Amino acid sequence: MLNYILRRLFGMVPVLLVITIIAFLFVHLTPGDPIRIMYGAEIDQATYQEMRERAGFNDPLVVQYGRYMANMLKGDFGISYRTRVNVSDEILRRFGYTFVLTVLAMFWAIVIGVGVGILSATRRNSLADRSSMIATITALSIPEFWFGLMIMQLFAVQLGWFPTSGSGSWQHLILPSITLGLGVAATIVRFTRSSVLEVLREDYVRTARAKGQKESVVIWRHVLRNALIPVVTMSGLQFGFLIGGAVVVEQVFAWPGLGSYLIDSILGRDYPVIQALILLFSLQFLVINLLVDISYAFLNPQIRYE
Amino acid sequence: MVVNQQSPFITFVRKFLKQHLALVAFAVLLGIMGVAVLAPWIAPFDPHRPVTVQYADHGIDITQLTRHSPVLEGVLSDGTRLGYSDLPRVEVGAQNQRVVNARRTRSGLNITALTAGHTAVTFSIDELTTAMDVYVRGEVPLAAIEPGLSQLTIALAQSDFAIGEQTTLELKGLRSDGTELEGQDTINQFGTEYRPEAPLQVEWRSLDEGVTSVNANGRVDFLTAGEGLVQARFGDVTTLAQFAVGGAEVAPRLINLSLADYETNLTDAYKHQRPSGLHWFGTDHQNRDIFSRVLHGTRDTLMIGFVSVAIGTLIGTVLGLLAGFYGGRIDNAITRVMDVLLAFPGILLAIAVIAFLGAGLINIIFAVAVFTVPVFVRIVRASTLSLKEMTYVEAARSIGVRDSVIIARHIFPGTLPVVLVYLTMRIGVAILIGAALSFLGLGGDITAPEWGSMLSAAKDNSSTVFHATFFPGLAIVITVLSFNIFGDGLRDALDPKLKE
Repeated sequence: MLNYILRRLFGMVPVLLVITIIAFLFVHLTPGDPIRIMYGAEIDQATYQEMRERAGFNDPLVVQYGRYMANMLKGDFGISYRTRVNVSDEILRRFGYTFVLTVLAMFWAIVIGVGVGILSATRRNSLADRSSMIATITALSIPEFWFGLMIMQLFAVQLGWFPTSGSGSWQHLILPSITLGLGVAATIVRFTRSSVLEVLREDYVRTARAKGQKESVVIWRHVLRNALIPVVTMSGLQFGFLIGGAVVVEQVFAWPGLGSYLIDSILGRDYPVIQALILLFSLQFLVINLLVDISYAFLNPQIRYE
Repeated sequence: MVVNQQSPFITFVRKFLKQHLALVAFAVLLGIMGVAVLAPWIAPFDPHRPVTVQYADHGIDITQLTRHSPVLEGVLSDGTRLGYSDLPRVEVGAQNQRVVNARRTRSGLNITALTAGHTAVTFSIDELTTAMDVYVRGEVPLAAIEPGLSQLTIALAQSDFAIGEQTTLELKGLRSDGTELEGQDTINQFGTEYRPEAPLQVEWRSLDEGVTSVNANGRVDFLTAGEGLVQARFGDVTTLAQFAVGGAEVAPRLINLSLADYETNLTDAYKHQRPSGLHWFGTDHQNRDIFSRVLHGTRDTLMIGFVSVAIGTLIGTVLGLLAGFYGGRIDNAITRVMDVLLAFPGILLAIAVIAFLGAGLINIIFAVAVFTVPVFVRIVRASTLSLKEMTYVEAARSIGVRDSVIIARHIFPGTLPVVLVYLTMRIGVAILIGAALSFLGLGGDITAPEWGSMLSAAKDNSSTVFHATFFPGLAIVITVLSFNIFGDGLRDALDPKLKE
């Protein structure tokens, strides 16, 4: 097991290195001169040269990359072009918002997803099953941002139950988290359903039924215990995708997390921030996937990774 | 041995035809593609320009929507009616001058809508006033408004009275919706309900010099000979009653004003028109017809879906075939690159590509294509790995068929069913991602009639202007849903085992 974890960690290193290079090159390959973006056109040529020199843009790329990596390992992602705020501080400040949002979205998705999925599978081909299948395929076809605008209209504007956008209280969290969780919930419903159906076909389920066990016991003790293992890992993988979805949903509800920070920075060509966030998001995603794989190995003794 | 085997294609078509929902989705998709091709001919308006400048081309007089010309008549005490041109100067006033501009012109009266809302407009000649309710529909639905009182009439059985006589005047009120209020008490009761904070009451006044006197209940005493003149007033609205007292000779006089219509509905036609028979989906913040824009947007949206997935599928399939067939270093290199691409969760990969390339429709297509490649590499590689072990591939190899021919003729066709199913499914995803990118403002041209950018432009007003966000989004849902259901049907027909 330890061997497996170490191997996976080691395997992440080249991917991470490539991503740092991509992130680093953002500043150098994209159009626009960073000094000009930062100070505008009003500075004269001498000051401009001095600024370039001081910021180290005249050094060879390799030297700059080395310095970038050294700073990054110290947790220094530089200064935002637009706001002149330390990028790391701003990321730390906003991280909590995105974290709370994604965790709550995941909570809805699992509660609804697993619940409906089990119901669908145990009442296969019933009206409830069919309608839940139609509901999930519809949910997967709805753009998150549009769904967000629609429930905002209904629950915030018409009914006034929740605030329309912004942050500050737990009420602000409800609509964005439901919006974000919708697609994942639908995926989990479908996955849970097919997983449960698969286990229901197993011999040991037939045996359990044959010896006269109550159906509820069969479902709870024999089916769910085995059917939910892949659901756990799949949900973990979906967690990574929520990070991507958060970018869109935060924009809709003006939620001050990392996603809206990223979009504002892209629109404002604030490369240090884009650099740092892209690195952070992919690191997060890789770590989550690693944890998911490890938990899978733990939960399912059948799996041998050696 | 009798081989009773149908061609796989016939089997597939048979199975597919059994999937009714998928058939419906397929029909919808054909319809959507038809719309994409025919949009310029079937769209009622030019999607790029405000509808107001196009009304003339459509033979629509914009003033029909925004302007009303009230027809005013004067009633003389002898019952004759006078048309507008015979009347003295009419004073026109709007209670809320922000809502409409009401004025008198040489040929008639004019009310022009300025902004959404409600106002009463009054028309006065000397001591006479009548009123109408004007509703201007705009981006916000109007709150329900009680129709106000428009006209008062005094019913006179006779107008000649002797000195010392008494009479009580019968007052009738008319509300703008046509409801009649009989008698002073009814009118007063309405005045309390209409404005509880400051109830309106009927007021009586004698306008002559000592000929009559009138009390609060409309009881008139005739005091001296001459022309008697009594006015009833309720808020702004007034009417007169004329009397000949003590045998005096009186000339007919204007005692009432009446309008052909006491209420009118106008439209604030310059922005955010609500859905109507003329504009099925309403108009947007620049007053462009949303229905036409949705029709035109089908093109860009389908193009993003088709082109990006086609590029992604092509590159992904080729790389997947190479990686699966050759294995070793090639496989390793391709897998590593895909690992890097897959390290960006979901839409973030596409966003990162846009961050690199800059905003724009072409870049969105490219970003979505990059986003699609790893999916196809993975599935094609997996299916190549298993196809490679097939005996017929081994046979082909053993007779010295070139690698390129084996891949193209023996392996690629085997991967085709999976590729086709994923292709259909991914078009839906690609449309969603493309729309999300435009929504985030990364689509470059925000004025383009593309569903995502339409939503992006409309989102800031979304709390008040519902239709501008509702319809483009609905179009996305219907399109993506059709692709998803169609893909599901294809999958079940091609190979039920592919079901997750």
